[in-house]
Amino acid sequence: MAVDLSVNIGSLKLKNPVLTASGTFGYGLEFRNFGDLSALGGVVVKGTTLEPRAGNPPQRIVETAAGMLNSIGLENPGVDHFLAHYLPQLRDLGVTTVVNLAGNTVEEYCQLAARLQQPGIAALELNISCPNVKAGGMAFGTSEAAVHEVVEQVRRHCQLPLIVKLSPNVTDIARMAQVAEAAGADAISLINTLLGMAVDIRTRRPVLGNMVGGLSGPAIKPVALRMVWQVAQAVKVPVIGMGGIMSAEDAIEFLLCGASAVQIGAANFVEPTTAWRVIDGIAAYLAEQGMTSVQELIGGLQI
Amino acid sequence: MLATESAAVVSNEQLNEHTWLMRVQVPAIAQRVKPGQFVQVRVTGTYDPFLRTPLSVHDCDPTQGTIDLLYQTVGTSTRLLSEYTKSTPLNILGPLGRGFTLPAPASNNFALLVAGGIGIAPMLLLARKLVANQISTRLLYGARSVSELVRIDAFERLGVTVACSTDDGSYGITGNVVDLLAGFLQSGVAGEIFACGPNPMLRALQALVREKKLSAQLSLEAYMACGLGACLGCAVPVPGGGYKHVCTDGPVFDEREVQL
Repeated sequence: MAVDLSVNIGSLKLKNPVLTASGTFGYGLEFRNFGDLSALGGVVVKGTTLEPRAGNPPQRIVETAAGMLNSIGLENPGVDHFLAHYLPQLRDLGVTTVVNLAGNTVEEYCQLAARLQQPGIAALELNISCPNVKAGGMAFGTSEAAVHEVVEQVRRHCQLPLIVKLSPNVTDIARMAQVAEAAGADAISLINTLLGMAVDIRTRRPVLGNMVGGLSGPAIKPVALRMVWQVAQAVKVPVIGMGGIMSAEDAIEFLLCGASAVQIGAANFVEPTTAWRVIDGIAAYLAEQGMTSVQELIGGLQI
Repeated sequence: MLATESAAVVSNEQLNEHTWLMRVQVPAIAQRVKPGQFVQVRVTGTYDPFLRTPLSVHDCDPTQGTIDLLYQTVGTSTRLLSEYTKSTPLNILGPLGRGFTLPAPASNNFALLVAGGIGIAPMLLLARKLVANQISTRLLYGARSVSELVRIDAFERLGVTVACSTDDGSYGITGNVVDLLAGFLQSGVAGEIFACGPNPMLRALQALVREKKLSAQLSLEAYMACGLGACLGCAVPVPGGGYKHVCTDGPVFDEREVQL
């Protein structure tokens, strides 16, 4: 018996609950050799800014226990290049494209959101949680007032479904989610990376050129799962969970904790076919459990 | 089509204290790899170490379906790799990146390979193709000490002339490989320069070839996660600002493209 994998993120219908996380899957095209991009629930493209950004000085990556730190610094070619070069290809391939956007100021976020109301874009993901840029990014995501302001303003320029991606680097993640919901978010995605650091004892210097960076990978999964569970109970809008998902089993844990969909992040670097394997694994689990729809799993944690 | 491939270890031999030579069976990669390209090796099925290890392809035998990887045990992944035997499964992604641009076959061009330390790794496959293309090829190879010079016999078997330098003078000239190159260039013979080694060496080589108004292709190393152009971790500064990425723009660059 075929199982129904489709989920709704507000008005956004996804053929299955598995997306790839921003910054870990390029523009999808880098991975087209590994599977059919249109078979994914969605591709969240690299964080996009109004102007091109060069990113942070190297070293940008360091491996850590069961994970990695990155300080890429939102390197991207800017929104105009994205619209002219990448979006047409994604549209032709039938990819459910979600654009992650980041700005230095509320006005920039608004201008970007307005520019991105285009055919072929399924939803926007508001990045107020990048830990690796000085202005904007996480600065917007760690104060209630700033979250409210940026979400409320962007909402006015955005007819597309608006997903707000939260930073885990806060005291009360559920409160931040409620603020974003009240300001008009259609969905909440979490978690972005946890701020971390690595030190080289030979040179006695920080390993990363930016001193600090965002921790991702299986090391952060328990933290992500806990935060998704807390947020799912605190808001009515759908939640998209991510953080260290490597397998279908990991993804199912997030669904049980209340996520309506998941994003695959650092796993794409290690095993480029992960997202497709997670979709297949969820379908197999549902069949094995005698379930007909993935929606039966969402929030199904027994307490 | 780029893919991950399950690999069987054919042999894994220790050459000196820190250097190992591994032969793996990966027919699809062996058919397609070009000199200067690299592969991403997944050392374990567990999450620690987490990332794949980028290694340049040292040699390949398309008939046997094997590639050779020459690596140093510098971290957890490579240390684990050195313990691998025939029964240990590996997963390899590749071939990745832009390799060396070779001179036209049988042209009068002359190839000068310059390797520092483990920078010898991509040079054997390059030398094999150059020799097959009837390009006269010479290797200049430097290391800290004679014990760190490896695989010289493999180059000599191809008919490549090898000259060495060591920091401690234990073999060849005393000094570094850029000194050796400078000395060689005194002879007035200019050829295509192909270089790989640590960044300080490549920086010195870049200064030398600019002074002599020669061109050079540099194979760079960088910390990277994906190897596919997605993570943007392996940034290398370019003149005038901004970055290129070692995994997809390189690992081989024209020396004029990068600011080391």
